Amino acid sequence: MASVPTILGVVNLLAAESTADGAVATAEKVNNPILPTSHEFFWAAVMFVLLWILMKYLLLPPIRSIMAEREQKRLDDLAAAGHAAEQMDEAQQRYEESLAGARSEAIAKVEAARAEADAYRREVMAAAESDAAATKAESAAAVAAARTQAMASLRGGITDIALGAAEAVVERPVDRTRQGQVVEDYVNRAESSN
Amino acid sequence: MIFGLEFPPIQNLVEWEPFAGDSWYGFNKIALTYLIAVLATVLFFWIAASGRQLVPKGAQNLAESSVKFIEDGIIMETIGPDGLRYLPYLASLFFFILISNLFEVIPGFQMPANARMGGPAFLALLTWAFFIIVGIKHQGPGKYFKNSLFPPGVPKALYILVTPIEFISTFLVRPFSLAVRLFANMLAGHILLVTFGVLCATLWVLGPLLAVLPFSFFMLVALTGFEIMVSFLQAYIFTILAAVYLGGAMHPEH
Repeated sequence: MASVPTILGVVNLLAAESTADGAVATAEKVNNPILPTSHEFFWAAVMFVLLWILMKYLLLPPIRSIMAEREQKRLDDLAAAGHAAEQMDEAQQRYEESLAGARSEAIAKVEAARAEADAYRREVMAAAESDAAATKAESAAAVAAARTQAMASLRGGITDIALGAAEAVVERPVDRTRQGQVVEDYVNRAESSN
Repeated sequence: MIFGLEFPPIQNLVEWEPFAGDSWYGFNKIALTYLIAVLATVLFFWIAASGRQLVPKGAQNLAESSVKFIEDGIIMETIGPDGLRYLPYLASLFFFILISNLFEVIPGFQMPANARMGGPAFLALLTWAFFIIVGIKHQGPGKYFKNSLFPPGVPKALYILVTPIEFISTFLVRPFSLAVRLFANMLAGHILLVTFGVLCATLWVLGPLLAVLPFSFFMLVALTGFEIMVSFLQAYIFTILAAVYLGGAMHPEH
C-alpha cells in the first residue's frame, strides 16, 4: 500500500513533464537506458571495492573465527566422546573379565566344597557302617552266646524229661549216661536240620 | 498514452539526476543505494559479530547461516575447499547485489540499483578480470590460455571449431552475459512493478474502472513478493556463476 502514493506522485510528475516539456524533451539528448553511465559505474566500483575490503579484513574474520571455534569445539567434544566411549568399553571389558574370573573362582570353590562334603559324607558313612557292623557283630555274638546257653539248658532239660519219660515207659531205670548221649545226639541232629 | 493509461518513458523510470556533482562522480539515487547496501551489510555483520556467542542466535545466526550458505552451497559445490579463500569476494558480491536488488521493493526507493547497467557492468568486468587473474596465478599464463582455448580431451581436429567458440564464450560473452542477466532481470522486474503501479494509480483516478483495481493491486502485491524472490535469485546466480568461473580457472580439468 505504501508504494501507491509514491507511484501516484511519479505518474503526476511524468504527466506534467510530458504535457509541458514534451517538445523540449524530444529535442534533448536521450540516454540509452541499456548503456552504463560513468558515474554509476564509478560509484558501484567504489562501493563494491570498499565492501570487499571491509568484508575481507573486518566483517568476515570475527564470524569465521567463531564458526571455526565452534567447529573445533565440536571436533574436540566428538573426540572426547569417542575417548569416553573407548574408556567405557575398556571398563566394561575389565568388568566382564573380572566377572568371568569371579564366576570361575566361585565354581571352583563350589566344586571343592562339594568334593570335600562328599569325602566327609563318605568318611562319616564308612564310620557309621563300621560302627553298625561292630554293633551287629556284638549283637550276633550275644545272640549266639544266649542261644548256646539256652540250647545247653534246653538240652539238659530235654534229656532229663526224655530219660524220665523213658524210665516211666519201661518202668525201670535206664543208663543215664548212654541214653543221655542218645538224646543229646538227637537234639543235635534236630538243631542242625533247623 | 495506451488505452487511456499514461505510461512514463523508460528514461523516467531508471534515470536519476545526481544530488551532488554533475560529472563522472555525480552522486545520484543509484549511488546512494550502493552506499546503503554497503552500510547495511557492514551494520548487519557488525551487529552479528558484536555479541557473538558459541551458540548463535539472532543476527549472528543469520550472518553465520549466510556465510555457511555461501561456503557450502556455492564455493564447496563449484570450486572445492581451496576456493574458500575467495569467500570475501563472493560474499561481497552476494550481499552487495542482494541488498541493491531489494531496494526494488523498499518504499521510498522502489528502484533496484542493478536495473542500471553501471553496477552489473562493473561487477561483471571485475569478475571477468578476477577469474582470468586467478587462472593465470594457478596455472601460469601459457597453460591457462592454452587450457581455456584448447580444452583438454577434445580431438585436435575439433579445435578449429572449439577454440573460437571457447574464446568468445570465455573471454567475451561471460562478462556480457553476467552483466546483462542481472541488469535485464532487475529492469524487467522494475518495469513490471511500475506497470502495475501505474495501472493501479490510473484505475484509482478513473472512477468507472475502480472495480478492476483489486485485481491490478493483487498483481502488484504478488509481483512485489515475486521480485523479492528474484532479487535473491539473481544475487545467488551472479555469485554462483562467478564461483563457477573461478573454479574453472583454478581447475581446468573440471
